[in-house]
Amino acid sequence: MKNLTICILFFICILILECSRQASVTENNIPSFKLLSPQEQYTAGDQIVIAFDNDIPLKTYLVINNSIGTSAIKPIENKKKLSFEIPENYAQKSGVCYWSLVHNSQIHQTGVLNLVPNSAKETRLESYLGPRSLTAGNGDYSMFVIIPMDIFGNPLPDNTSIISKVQFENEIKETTLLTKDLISWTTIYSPKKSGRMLVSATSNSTDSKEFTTIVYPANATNFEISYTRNHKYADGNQVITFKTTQLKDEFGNSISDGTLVTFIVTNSKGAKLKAQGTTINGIAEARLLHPVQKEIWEVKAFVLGAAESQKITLNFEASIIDFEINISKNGRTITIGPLKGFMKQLVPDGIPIDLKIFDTNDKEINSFLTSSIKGEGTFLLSQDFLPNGNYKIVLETAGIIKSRTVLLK
Amino acid sequence: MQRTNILLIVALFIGVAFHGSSIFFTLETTYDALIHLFFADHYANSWFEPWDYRWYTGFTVQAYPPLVHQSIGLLSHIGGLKFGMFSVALIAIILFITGAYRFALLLTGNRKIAGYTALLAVFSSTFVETLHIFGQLPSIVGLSVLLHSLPEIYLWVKTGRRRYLFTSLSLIAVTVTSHHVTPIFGMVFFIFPLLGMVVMDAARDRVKTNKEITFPVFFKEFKKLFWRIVTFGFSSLVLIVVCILPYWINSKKNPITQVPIPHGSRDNFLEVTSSGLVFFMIPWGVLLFLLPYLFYRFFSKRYLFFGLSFSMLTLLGTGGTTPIPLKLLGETAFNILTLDRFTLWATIMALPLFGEFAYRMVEGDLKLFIQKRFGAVYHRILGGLLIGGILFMVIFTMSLGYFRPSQPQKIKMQPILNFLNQDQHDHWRYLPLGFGDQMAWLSAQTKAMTVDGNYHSARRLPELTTRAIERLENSKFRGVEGIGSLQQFLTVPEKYNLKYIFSNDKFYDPILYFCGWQRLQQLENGIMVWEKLNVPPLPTILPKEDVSIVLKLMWGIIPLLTVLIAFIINIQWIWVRALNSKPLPQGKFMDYAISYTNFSKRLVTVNHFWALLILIILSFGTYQFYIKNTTQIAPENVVKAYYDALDFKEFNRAYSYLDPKSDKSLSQYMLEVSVTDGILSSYAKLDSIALKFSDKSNNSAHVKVTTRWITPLENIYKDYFHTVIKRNGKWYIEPSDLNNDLPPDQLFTSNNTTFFNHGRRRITTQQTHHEDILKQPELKILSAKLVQYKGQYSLIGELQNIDNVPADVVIKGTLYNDTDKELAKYSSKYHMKHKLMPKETTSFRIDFEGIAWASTKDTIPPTFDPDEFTPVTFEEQPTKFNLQCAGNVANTDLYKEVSLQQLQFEKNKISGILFNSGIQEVTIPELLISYYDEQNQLIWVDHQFMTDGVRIQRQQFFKYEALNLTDVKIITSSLANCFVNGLPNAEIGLKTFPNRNIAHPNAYLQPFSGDGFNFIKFDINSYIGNPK
Repeated sequence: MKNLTICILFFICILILECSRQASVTENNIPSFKLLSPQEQYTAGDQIVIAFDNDIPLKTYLVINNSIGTSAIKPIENKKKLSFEIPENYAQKSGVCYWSLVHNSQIHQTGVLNLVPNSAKETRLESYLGPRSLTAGNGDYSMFVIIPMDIFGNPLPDNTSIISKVQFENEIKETTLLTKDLISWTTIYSPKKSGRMLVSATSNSTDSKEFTTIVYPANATNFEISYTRNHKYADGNQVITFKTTQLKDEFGNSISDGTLVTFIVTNSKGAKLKAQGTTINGIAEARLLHPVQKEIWEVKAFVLGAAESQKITLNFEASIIDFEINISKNGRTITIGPLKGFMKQLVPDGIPIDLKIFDTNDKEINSFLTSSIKGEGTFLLSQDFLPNGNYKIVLETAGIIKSRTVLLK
Repeated sequence: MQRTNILLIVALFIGVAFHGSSIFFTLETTYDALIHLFFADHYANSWFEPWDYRWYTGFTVQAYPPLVHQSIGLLSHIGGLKFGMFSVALIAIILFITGAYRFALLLTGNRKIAGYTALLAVFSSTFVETLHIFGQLPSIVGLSVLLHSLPEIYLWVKTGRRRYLFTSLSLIAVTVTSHHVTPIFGMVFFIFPLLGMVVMDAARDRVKTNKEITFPVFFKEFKKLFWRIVTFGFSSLVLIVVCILPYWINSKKNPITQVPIPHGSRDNFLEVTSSGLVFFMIPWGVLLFLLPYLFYRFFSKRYLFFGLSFSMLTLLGTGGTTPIPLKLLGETAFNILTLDRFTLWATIMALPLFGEFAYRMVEGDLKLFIQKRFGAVYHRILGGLLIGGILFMVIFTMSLGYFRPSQPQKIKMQPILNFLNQDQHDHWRYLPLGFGDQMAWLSAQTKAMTVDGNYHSARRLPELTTRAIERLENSKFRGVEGIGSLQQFLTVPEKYNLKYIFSNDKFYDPILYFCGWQRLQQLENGIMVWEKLNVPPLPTILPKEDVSIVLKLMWGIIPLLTVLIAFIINIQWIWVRALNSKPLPQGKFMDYAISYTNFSKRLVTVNHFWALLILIILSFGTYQFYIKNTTQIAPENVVKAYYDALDFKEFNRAYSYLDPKSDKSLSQYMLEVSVTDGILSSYAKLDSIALKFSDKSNNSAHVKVTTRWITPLENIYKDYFHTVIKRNGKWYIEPSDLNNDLPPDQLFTSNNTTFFNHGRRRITTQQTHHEDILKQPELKILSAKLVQYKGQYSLIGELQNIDNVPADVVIKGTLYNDTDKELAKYSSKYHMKHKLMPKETTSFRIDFEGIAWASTKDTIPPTFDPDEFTPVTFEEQPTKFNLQCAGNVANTDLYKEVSLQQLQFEKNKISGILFNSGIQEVTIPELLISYYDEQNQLIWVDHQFMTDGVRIQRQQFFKYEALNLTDVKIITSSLANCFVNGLPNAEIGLKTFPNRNIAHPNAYLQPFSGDGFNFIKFDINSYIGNPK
């Protein structure tokens, strides 16, 4: 136990001695450092060693600072010489690198290294093209930006030449560009034709990858419309198809697939009906049902804000001209029909038939709606709801209105 | 001595075999088990870190006592999470059976009775329900350990030996760390009466007979034992506070300020019979028949305090049936607590006396009495009935989950997990819909985060806490309020970085579509993935509420430490004794066993009458049930039954209510049903129904049926008209006519442009290179206005996709006051077409719902009703706005082939038909109606969802009633602060869309003068339920 205490005391003494010795050295002598490596110009990637003729490795650092950031590096152990090797990532970065020798938290010497890009080795190209789609003509353009770099990613000096190539259809255009302020750029204007442009660049026999920009057609210009229908009768069942001519932009390109064309139909009552279609190869189609009664339609199509068609007018003739009403003896079964079309054929199922019942004072007391099956529509007037007596019935179908008086029994 | 041990061993044997094997089929489908599994997963991964980012945009697990979760988490390292859960469940079963045994031994001092109690505990329907239907593991563990602690507390107070103080406190600590409510209410309902009983026993020691125990004697003994009671009470209070201190601190910091969530246990059980069944009938089970015996015994002198406690528990357990629980607990406690807990405790408390009854019935005085009075056969029948009743309740309860599943079918999670792990999908939040409690299991298996969660006390977002909804995931069961809350999340998903939705319920599909979401893919487990474009990924650093390291350490260490200490103190002592061959000391309570002779004759009579009464009530209930389900005895019944059948899609049943004399065959009816599609037939839930009869005669009537349907979009009110007819004493409905419109073409062609976007073309895990990213489509805002209508502020306007590719459009509006202070921010919901073809336009409207406003406090209406907007009162009036639109290339939901025709105008009413000329069936067509003034300026945008779909080449009628817009006030009309894809709107399209013809839009306008407007325009937005 005693021995241990002595040991500890001994160590503490040594420690105190050691510390005081260190302190006295720094306080009394200001060491001098002489630079042994005066070279300031380097090429990125070179091995750079900065040496001084003093050997106090303790508490001595070389603080370096360039565009990457700041680091403090320790000296390499060497006899009689204090040398620092600039780390790879700093040595590979072109531009100015400042260094300062710091000993004991004090700067003793500073210096500058100039690193130039390593253009001797292979060149790399950093390139970007955008936007990736353009509109034909009209001065829309993409910008092509190219940065030639050395193997370490340092931009090459100004006036490095780059060849930019643009392919469109059968033509390949080459332009020589010179870098300025580390980058080079060019604008690629859209041609008047729609299609696909491929863009690339070459510098120092290095090629960039291929970039694409799509040239979309410009806005549609006015167009024509037409229609096809099976017959001219308003049977409420057939489908009429409206169709545009090929929509083209001012340069003759067929406009983009999927463009919405709206057909506005104004009927004889002034109601605006609407059908839409999207273009394929510039042609849009839209469909409507034939009306149920005699109609005159005025049709005009639009690509909103861009283009419109001429106005066309079409007539629908009445399909059902008249219908018969059969009332059973007790008045409680009312049959309408047969509803006949323009060829005296039974109309297709589903023609709506409306029945309104009025009492003797012309007050509406009930209404029923049915649709035709096999050309006929039937209403059953139940005794539970309509007591016996006189009633007026009004029937409407295909725009024709008829009324009768019935005696319900 | 030997016999009783056998009973306990038999109980344990049967209990472990029965429950232990059936948990594998029940536990995972219970309400709570998977939630505990999620918490366990949290502890398994980060034991000391209480913050979990995966739910509710981050929450703390310190919101629930951790012991059970930590145990599962610890065991999960051996055999996975589920192994951990089942192991803990097995331990809980053993703890419960032994706990019941010790509790019974304490109360009765009779090992035989305790054995019977253990056996009955195994089959007690309340335990079966809590474990196999509710899955409340922490509650079971907490309660069981509390039962174990009771004898120790008794012995401490009675004998004053310090050893018992430590054993009881160690067990209390375990209880506290496993469940927080149990010890607090356990104190009141179990420990207080126990203390009363100890004093009573002590008083009994002073006197010769029970009768001599008077209040002075009792009070004298109480004074004697006072300090022991205080010591115990105070120490356990300290334990309750210290053991889960982080929990209390967290509760203080995040008080439960949320709107109470409705719980079945607060219902009036007579009105809501399903709640009555689950929260009253099942837990009580056979005990219902024995209530007179239980009360008689509980109100004997020794058990008096237990009797009071038992009565109170029974009463509180009745929920909202009587107003008493509400008055006793107060509004707040009543709405936070789930009252089924009280029934659980009451039935557990009754177990020893049930055991006593069984003992007396099987081999005691009751047996002798009945055999003497009614004969041996009657005794056997009675016993058989009781056993039959117990078995029936067990089987009934166990099968409840099988016949009425509380959860959707088990979902295979692997495809979802794979999806989340692919292509950085977990960099966004996701939301499961229609998963039930399985969402917890999904969250437990992934690192991806969701905005939802399954532990509602931990909810933090005001969007959730201000609504009485448990989860977004099942919001359809919460009616308009749930849907309203879900809509808020779907409308502004950017706010939560919510990009993916896993939908297991097609009910939600329409709202997803109309909020601008699109289907991405169907996973192989049938789950549909929906995605939203233009949602930014989660930031790398997410906010979290940190707690001090001390609390973290306490939370991580104390719970398991309590188990360790309790184990050492309690078990080791027994082992040491056993190894030393010293007999275990007999509990002092064994001295108070009574001998069972002379079963009260009056009680037998009373109980017989009671049982008869219960039987009569049950039969009456069954009869009522039968009558209610007799559907055709009155016209009201048949109409209601018909709509009920339609609501549940039971078309066979619906057909049976149709007039048999009509010529509609079942196959014809089913065919007609199969071709109807639309929001009402596919996505609606009948909410209420009202009937109005006219022309009612003895045999027929006209009826107007006014219905209210809850759909994912909004409430739909629809009137139907029927004729009902009586035939052979039964009422029937006349079938309605089907629209027999015949399409013209059998086969026809349709050409369409379709689009595909590769997304990531290069197969790489690196960030997508810029060459894979498409340019955002250019949009142009044509007009934008801030308007006020009916006290509500809205942004309206028109917008066009001027690009050459289809665009998915997101519009976000912000309102400012005169001093440029931001007041509200929201996105447009369904008042727009979200997908636009090139050159297509849409009108839009942004309404600013509750969460949009900077201070949500005053702006949220107490209950959300989409049809009823509570006007917001501002001190600061919005006067300016900012509109941010973003386009992204869309390639789905681009169906535009619905035409508008046969328009007819009446005063204020417009009718017409929609004609579907394409080859997709439109499930829900939406009409967007824009109103214009005499200068052709937009003044309002309205919408109407049509209740029926439009089939291919067919027409669908619609009717629209124009609004009265005289009080629309345009506050600002400006395009100054409008931006598209981050660029000023004014600069958009200068080159790509020059020379705009500004007269074109006028050609689209329908002259129609109404109140406050001169023109209208219809746009159609089509939702396709099943794209082909």
